[in-house]
Amino acid sequence: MADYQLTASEEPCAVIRDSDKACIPPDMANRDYNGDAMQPGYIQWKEAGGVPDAYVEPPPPEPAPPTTEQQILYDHENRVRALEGEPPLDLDEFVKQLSG
Amino acid sequence: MAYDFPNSPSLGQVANGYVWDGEKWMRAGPLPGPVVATKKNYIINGAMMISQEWGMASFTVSLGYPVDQFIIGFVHGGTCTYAQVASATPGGSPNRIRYIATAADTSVAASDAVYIKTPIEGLRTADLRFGSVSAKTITIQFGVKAPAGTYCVGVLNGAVNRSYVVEYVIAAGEANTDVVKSVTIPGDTTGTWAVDNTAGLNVFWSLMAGTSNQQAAGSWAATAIFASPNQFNFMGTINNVFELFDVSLTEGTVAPPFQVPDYASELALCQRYYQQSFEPGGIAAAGFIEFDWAASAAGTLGGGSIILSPTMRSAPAVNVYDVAGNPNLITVINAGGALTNGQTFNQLTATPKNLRLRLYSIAGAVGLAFQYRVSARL
Repeated sequence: MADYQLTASEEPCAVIRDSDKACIPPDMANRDYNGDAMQPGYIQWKEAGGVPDAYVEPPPPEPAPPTTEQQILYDHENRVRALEGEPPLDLDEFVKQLSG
Repeated sequence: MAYDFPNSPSLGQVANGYVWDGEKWMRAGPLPGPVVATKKNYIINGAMMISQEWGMASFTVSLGYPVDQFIIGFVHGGTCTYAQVASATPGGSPNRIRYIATAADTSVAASDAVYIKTPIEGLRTADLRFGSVSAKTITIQFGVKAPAGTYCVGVLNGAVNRSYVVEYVIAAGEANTDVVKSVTIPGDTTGTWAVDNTAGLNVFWSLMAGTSNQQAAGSWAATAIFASPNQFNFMGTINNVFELFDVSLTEGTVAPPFQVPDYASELALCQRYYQQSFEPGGIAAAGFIEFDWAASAAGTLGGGSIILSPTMRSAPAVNVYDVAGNPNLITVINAGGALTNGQTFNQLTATPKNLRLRLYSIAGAVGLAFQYRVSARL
């Protein structure tokens, strides 16, 4: 593991410092990003040959659970479809149609 | 009555109650009378009262901030501890910083160094006109308690390529007692001195310096040096104690008596560079930041923004902690109020004016809680 990890696929971007997990913005006025010989920052670390860990895509958002209202509507829709001889709808698909 | 003044005075030399400013003798000290003009003290937290991050906790590693705005760095073969301490100063502050040698280093290697540094933002020092023919003379005054020896103090520009070293002496009779020292430095008429939100001027005190960190005292040099060859090896004896307090940097050749600043005003100045949502020294389970949303919207995008006040010097580096103090994680508030620590978040952005945190959908979540610290230190 490197001392820093990128937070986007391309630089400049914020970097995460491994030692304390600080999120450091790509601001040249920020000492943690751009330090000096006495207090090196990310830029100085890279200039000394450091290679940051690549950006890792965060996990996709969890699908939101249906609300009580959506669940009632879904159950009602499938009862109607059963009476009509139609196959039941998938819950996620039904919620998407409602939202759309 | 006739005064006998030296024929070839040095800058800052005092004689007969007058001080030599390089051109003429000026009265040393305030003028008699009821009105005494105050001067701008360029140093922030010179009374050492503000210590937002650690309070009075002790450090044993390099590059810690025992108080806001003052950083201590070292490279040596000994060990040390340093902290803000409660100890009244001659100027009236209740605090000072104390550095103790807990294991000696009697052999000073070329790269060895111990320094205390306080950086000052260019926007604050712009009126000193350093880097121009109008550069103003400055005087650094400070309280110190230390073993006898020759020590160094000086200034360094933000680009760390212009420096000036001045020696001061703790005489045998002054050893380990509170004394006030004052040094005068002519303004640098060349070099690059920032006048923006980056470091304009660094003031440093040296306690130890190997040959790589030495230059002759008393003149400007295109270096990043902070001591002279005469620098005392403070680390040479175990249990040596160095204390620094009542620090001012003022324009001119004579510093006024140190004045303890208003605490609230000084805290606000410090918060331009550092803020945290919790008390000094550690994450507290109580008093965390909380963003809530309606239960009917549970599971949808959650988050919020915090206005940073005062506006910070630059976009800050941000540390986020969950309620248990785990870094780079937050706490989810579930329906009914139960807390779940260790949750990763999805977006964190910061500008000098605000901090924004977002959490994508988490089943059952009705809020999030966290602590934070933001640093735009120089």
